[in-house]
Amino acid sequence: MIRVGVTLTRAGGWPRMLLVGGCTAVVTGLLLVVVAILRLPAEPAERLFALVGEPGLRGGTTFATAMLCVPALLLLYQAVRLGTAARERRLAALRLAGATPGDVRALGAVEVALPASVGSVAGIGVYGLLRLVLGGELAEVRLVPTSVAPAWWQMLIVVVGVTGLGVAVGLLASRRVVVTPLGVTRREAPPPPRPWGALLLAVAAGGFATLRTGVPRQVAYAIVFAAIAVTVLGIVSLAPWIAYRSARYVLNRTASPTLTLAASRIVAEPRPVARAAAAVGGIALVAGGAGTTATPALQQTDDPFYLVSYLLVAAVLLVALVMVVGTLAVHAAESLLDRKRSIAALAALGTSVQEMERAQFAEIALAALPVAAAGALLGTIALGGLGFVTPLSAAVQLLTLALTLGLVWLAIELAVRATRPWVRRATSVENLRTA
Amino acid sequence: MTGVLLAAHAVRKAFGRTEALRGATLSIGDGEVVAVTGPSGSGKSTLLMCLAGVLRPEAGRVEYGGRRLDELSERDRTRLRRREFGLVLQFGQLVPELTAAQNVALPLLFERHERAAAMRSALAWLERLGADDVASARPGELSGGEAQRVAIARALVTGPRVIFADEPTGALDTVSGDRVLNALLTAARASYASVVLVTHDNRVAAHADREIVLRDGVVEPVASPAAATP
Repeated sequence: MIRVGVTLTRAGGWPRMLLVGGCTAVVTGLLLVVVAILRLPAEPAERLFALVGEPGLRGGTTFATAMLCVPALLLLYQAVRLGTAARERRLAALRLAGATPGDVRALGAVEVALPASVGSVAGIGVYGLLRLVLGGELAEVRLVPTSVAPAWWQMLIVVVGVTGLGVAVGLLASRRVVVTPLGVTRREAPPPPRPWGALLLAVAAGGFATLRTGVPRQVAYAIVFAAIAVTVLGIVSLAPWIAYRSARYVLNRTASPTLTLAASRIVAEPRPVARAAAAVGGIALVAGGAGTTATPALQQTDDPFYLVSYLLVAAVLLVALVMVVGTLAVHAAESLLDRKRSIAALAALGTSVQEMERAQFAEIALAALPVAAAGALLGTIALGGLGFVTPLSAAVQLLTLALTLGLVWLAIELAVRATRPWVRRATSVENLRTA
Repeated sequence: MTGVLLAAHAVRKAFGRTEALRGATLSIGDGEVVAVTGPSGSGKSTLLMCLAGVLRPEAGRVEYGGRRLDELSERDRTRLRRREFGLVLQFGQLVPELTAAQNVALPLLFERHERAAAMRSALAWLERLGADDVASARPGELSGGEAQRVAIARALVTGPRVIFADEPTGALDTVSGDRVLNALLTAARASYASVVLVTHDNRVAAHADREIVLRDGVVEPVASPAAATP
């Protein structure tokens, strides 16, 4: 079974293996940093930046570091789906050769487990690199402890846990697929998405509201972190509904063929593109919150701590956005390969490659931009409600919103440009001769 | 046959080491229906794609209305295909997420037609081809014959001068195939459009004004079916 799994993993192609391995390596590296911060004593032996060094602030830092795993896991989800059509054909051939449905599920798990386990082990190297760059002598602002490190058993737990998480994400990605000896069928498409994520936002709003009742400081911190996490989950859960509603709105009004193509794809299947764009909502949420609190915080004091902290938040958001570019690009490539027959027919009928690219851009933008706007507004409202709004901060908030949407636009542009070879491949005449 | 509308002269096209066309020469008149037949692998579809400007030949000339099609840029060939040519393929190849009417309206939207006008034209063509009852259905909900009627409507909606059909009945049963072929040829003749019909089926070829046989990438002219009939 393992040998067949290895063969299938290799047949899945190097890009898929590298992406799965890369994502698990990043998640492992980040979680090991979290473990190292949690192991710090109250008085660390080294001089660390206050966000890490001061025990009262560590909770927030470890929380933010762990949240950075979310875009990496969403990229992993997309990576697992890469080359789905070819993989399903291989699995159907195995069923024809006598493999049971259980065998096929096990092989699917092995296919993800192999690169995920290699990536998780490589994640120890990522941790080492982060420690060297962000904690060593070279670092101006030390963020990763070097006086303590995760114990071997903690490393083992993280490596095994992340590998298991990778396999779980892999199984989740293929849960709607039924492989039979005659090919692959998909269970009935789910109904249009509903705004259930709004319930999570209501829970988070309730959490923020309790802060006005004068709860103790430590409890207030816990409530803020929990409410932020629930808000992120809420915006991620709402992403398919937001994408669906925005696409329906556009589809009923546009005369643009590229927008018609893009919106109709989302209306028919809103979840894949929304999943790819969901991390954008989380990023925009944090950006909106940071934009709301930055001005008053920076006006109150000359302490460089605040400036450095906000710059760190901006850097982390940019790193997350880079991961989102990867997620969007992988989604776009997979979407093009899925639709290569109709795309080739459109090209033969006189649709230019540029128009195909515009449709690809519009498909992602119709999902990502409203999700980003909703995230940024929620972040602003959530922290604005705590009384941070001043005339100057309102201007900064608007600037943050514009900058966030601009960067999301740039991320989509980069993702679409990265998939240009797939657009060319999809328009190939060869695709016209296949059923 | 009136004046020559489309012509290929000594066209060659290879895919890697495989030579699909080895100097194919033919001409198609204005309003003429020509069937291109031949065994599998003889280069029929490649010839059709070269004539339609989808593929660019490596040698030889393709002329449309006196213009060198093979010398046009990709952009100009794309525009020409959109405005002057219609294409019907074996499996329909409709956009699965759009309704039948939206699929038919799509080429008009690319030509910057108003949305309402494009949809009206699309519905009129679907009605003409007897597919108006499936206007709001998606391709996945259509039978093979219905999908091909929608594909024909999509090919004709812009008022093309040439319709290229690659095995349009190849995936259909005989009854559905006959209906689709009749719909295609009736609509094309009513619009005075020329038709290049690639098929391996002699029954289908018999509907054409003239048949061209392709063998090993070279055209072998034969007598017209009409002329052969006493």
